[in-house]
Amino acid sequence: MEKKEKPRYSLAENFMWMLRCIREFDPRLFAWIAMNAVSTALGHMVPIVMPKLIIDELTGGGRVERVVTLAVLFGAALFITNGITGISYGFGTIPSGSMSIRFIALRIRFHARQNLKNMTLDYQKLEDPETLDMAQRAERAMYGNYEGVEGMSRLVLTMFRSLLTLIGTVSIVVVMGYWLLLVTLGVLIVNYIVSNRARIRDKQIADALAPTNRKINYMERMSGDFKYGKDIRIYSLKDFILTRLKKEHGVHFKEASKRQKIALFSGNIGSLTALVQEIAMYAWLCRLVVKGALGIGSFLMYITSIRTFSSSLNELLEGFVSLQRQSAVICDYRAYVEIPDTPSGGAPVPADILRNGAEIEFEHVSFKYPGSDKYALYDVSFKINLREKLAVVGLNGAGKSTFIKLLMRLYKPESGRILLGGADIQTYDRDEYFRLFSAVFQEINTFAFTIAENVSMQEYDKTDLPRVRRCLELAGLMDKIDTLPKGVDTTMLKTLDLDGVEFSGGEIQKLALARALYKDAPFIVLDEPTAALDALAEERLYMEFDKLTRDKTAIYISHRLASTRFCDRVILFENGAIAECGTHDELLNQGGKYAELFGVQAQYYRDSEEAEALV
Amino acid sequence: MNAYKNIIPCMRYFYGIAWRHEKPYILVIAANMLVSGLSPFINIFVPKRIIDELLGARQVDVLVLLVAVLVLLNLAVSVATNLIRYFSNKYHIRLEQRFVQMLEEKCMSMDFSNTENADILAQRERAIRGMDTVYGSIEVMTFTLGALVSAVITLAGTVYVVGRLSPLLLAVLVAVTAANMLIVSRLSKGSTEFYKNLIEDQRKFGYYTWELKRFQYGKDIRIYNAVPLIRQRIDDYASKDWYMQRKFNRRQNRYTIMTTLLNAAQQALLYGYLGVRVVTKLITVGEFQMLVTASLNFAGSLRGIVENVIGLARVVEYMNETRVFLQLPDVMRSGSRPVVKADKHTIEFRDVSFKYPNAEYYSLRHVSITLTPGSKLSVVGRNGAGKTTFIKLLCRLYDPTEGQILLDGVDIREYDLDSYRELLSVVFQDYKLLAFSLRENIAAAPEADDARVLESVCKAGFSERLETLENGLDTAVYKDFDKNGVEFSGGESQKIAIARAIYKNAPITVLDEPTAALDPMAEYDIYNRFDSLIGDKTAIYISHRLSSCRFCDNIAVFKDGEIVQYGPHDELVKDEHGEYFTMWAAQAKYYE
Repeated sequence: MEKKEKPRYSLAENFMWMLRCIREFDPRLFAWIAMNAVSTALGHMVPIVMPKLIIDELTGGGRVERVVTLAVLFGAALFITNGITGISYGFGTIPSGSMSIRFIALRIRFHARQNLKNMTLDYQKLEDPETLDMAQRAERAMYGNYEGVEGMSRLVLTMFRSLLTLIGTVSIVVVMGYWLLLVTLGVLIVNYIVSNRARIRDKQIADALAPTNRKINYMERMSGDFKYGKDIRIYSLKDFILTRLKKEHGVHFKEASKRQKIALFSGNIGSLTALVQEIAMYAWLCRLVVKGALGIGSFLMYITSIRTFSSSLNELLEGFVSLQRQSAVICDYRAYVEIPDTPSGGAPVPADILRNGAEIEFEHVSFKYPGSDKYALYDVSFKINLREKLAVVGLNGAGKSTFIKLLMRLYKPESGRILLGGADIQTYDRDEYFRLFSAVFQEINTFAFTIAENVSMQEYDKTDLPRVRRCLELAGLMDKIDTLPKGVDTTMLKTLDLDGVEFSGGEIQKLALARALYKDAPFIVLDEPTAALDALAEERLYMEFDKLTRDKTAIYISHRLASTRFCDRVILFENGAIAECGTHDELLNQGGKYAELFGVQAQYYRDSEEAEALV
Repeated sequence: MNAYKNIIPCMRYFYGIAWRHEKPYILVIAANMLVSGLSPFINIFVPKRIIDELLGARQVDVLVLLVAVLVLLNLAVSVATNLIRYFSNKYHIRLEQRFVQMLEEKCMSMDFSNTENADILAQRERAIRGMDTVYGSIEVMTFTLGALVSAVITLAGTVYVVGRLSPLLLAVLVAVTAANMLIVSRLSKGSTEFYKNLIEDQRKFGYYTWELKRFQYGKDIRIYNAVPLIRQRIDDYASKDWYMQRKFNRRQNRYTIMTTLLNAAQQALLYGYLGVRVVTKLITVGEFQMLVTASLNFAGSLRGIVENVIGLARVVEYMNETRVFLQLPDVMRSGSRPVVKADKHTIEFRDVSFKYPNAEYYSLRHVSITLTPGSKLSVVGRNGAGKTTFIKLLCRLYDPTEGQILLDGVDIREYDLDSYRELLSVVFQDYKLLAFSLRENIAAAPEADDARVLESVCKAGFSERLETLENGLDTAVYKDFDKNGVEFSGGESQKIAIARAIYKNAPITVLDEPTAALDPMAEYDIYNRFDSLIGDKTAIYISHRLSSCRFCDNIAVFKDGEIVQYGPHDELVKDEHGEYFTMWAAQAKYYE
């Protein structure tokens, strides 16, 4: 059994937080809320009061002009109250009203706030499963119009609205004595208890269904994802997947039926309690009329006002339940966005290092991934000379990627130090330190912005377009871009712009290279930049490598040992440590692991007799 | 009136399916229409009698009886409604599942060419949307239809009640409601537009709110300090793009004001006119109350009819997309000839040319090649030379535009599609694994022959890794199905995909860039195993690493969609002006 934790923030704290957020993001929303709440509450009162006045006149004075005046007043009052309500929030199911748009805009701001947190957290945290889990939980606060943050902001409105209506109806009904109010209240409380228990049971079933739903979602996603199309057809996976889907659908249906049964039960309890309330109401009111204590106008008015009282109180109770639910989700959201930022202070990187780079030295650096007890790197000491071209090789999992991530300060060493020009890199300002590096990562991400922005990674008006073109030229992508009508202003991907362009794997790799060149940082890191290129395109990159990295310190990671030929030095990682280090020729002569790896690859390219002997 | 023409065919299609699978559902729908159409009359007739009694004789026993009738009838309606909701929700869940299954089956069984067609991709998106309760779905269709029919029933009843007592009032009500309907119909036109915009907008919304938040962007954003760029774009979206919606709102507000005005005027008219009739003793107060309620119901149901017809048209607009998708014709399943079971098959490409649908250029031109049983072919060429297209045609994912592909002398189009594909084991470059267990992944089926699975695992070089897994073959791949699932590395996943190909034990094996994600030792390992992997089966091997050509009998060099060179390595490498030599030399020189 899960232990019930005390929530991070109380409901009241979260409610106040929401008010502060509204004040920060869209203070005008308060005025809208106040206006809508007042107009809605008055809109409820008009049909209660006006017909009474008219009927009183009908059964009493019977003056024609009075009846007409009252009828006109009735119409006018309805027009004003409903008009304001309609314009601000809309009625019914058609989404309209300025407020809906404002509420959704509010949610976008909350998304943006979370995104900002994603972008400023220490990178190391992003790869920590715990952070990922926190972020995913936080995202639940943005799941829909009536969930989490937007849900609570809407509740600010609806609860205020029902509270005002409630006050209005109570003030009418209480004149009659509180007896009827008490009955109605009692009925509502019984209803609330029943439906609350039903809700708890319902939630248990829904929670238990979560894994099933996840499986169903996965299968829907996968069988509809046409990237799976080839494998599904060649391996006849269709029937297999459909059988699994139907099985999970069966489980889902069984549990969903239980939920429907619960809903039916609590619905019927609701019908029965409503019966009690109606009987009490009619009995009480009829008795008063029969006794002559109540006119027919008031009789009708009390019926309407008791019903309105009951529905607005019910809304308030429901609102409260919903508030509790949203509050729990908001706790998760706040827990994530309130993770303290690492103080990004620290010394600025000296200008000449920013321009030219400096020597980097690893001093007994060790590193372990969170949740792992094995060292990914252990006691690595190594020096990268200024303007050196360094090749990093090794088997998968030997520590190459960890090494460059530590170098770029995406990870922090667990022990040991990394020195830049003699000073520990941790003492520098983090963002300043990032300015030292250009990198082409193995998996390259492009954004649905223009090509120019994807190269400069800056706002469009800060982008140096001629330089973008120059870098694309150097990366060998300009030919392709010249064929696009809008050139470097073409949007990438089809997400935001249906005329957007989608590049092939090789083209994306070239774009990433252009991005690295544009940044023109003193260090350039290339992680398997030729994996998606064909033999000739790969060779072209090798040939131009010197030109591209002139005056820079370059670190080149590759499985293709051929690439080591144009590097000054090669380091070979094995089991989290640097096993060999030297020039290509030195390492070959050394006859160690490097020589072995090289031999394995080279054999296929040697004379055929020799090669056949090997295979 | 284009929007309305699909209503009947669409309803026939979806209710046809509902009728075939869930007959009682149709009964529940009918019951719902009756109950919600007739229930307003309880509160039209009974309160009138109560008021008359209160203003007249005030007999307690009559009052008790009337109140009892009123509350019990309302109770009955309320319980009936609960029951109807209970049953229809259950049917909706099951029908929704049925449609999901149909959609998924369609996706997985339709012609492969459709899956690479942008129009079909978009059609699929729209088809899914048609089943989403925000836009379409049988639930919303039934709800709208039910509201429409019950509005018709209510309307008929109220016309009778009001018309009998006050024909003039009926005429006025019709006029006011007609004006109102005109406005509502224009409003709804606006709202269809709104929904359309919303779809366009949802992609943007999704990108700026959800997509950009993904952790995978973390490295790029940090190293290139893209924070200001991304903040600016999101901020622009939140403060400008999104607020464009207000334009639509302003127009809609005008209509809201007009309808509110008309409704208020109608109310004033109703109370004024009927009030004067009471004062002049033409009707009683009870009748006054009854006519007020009936008139409001009349106006409401008339508006309901118009709104729901428009609503139905809108729902159908979305659901029709689902119907279109489910009814897409499949042309590749025309063959019926079963493939004769044998270990040895000959495949021949005879002057095959191929152009992707809607493409201007041919991707393959006059390709002729024969694969004899047991032969090993290496396919090389630059990016975009036609290698992958060649494999797709071989797998009959596409049919040639010109020329023929023959299996044992018979055009492959004559064979039954599934039976033909039985012949092939393929490891695609972008192979996909499923989030099921390792065993199921390798066997590509719910049941497996464990001995064969283990043998395949061993041949693919995955045994050592398998031994480290606590749950062995029951280990789930990925975490979608099982929290303890394993995210295998690129190299490991590739070995699982290779094991799957081995398990299938088909006479022809195709390996498309199987070593791209592997380090040199793992690559060497695969090369070394190649013979034991393939045995005496026919094999096709595609790679950028020309090193792999050394263990194939023949090499086909593709360039611009044509086979420009064909022969064994030793022969091709001698032609120093050939494409093969150029590529070979580019790689080999680093290993000299």
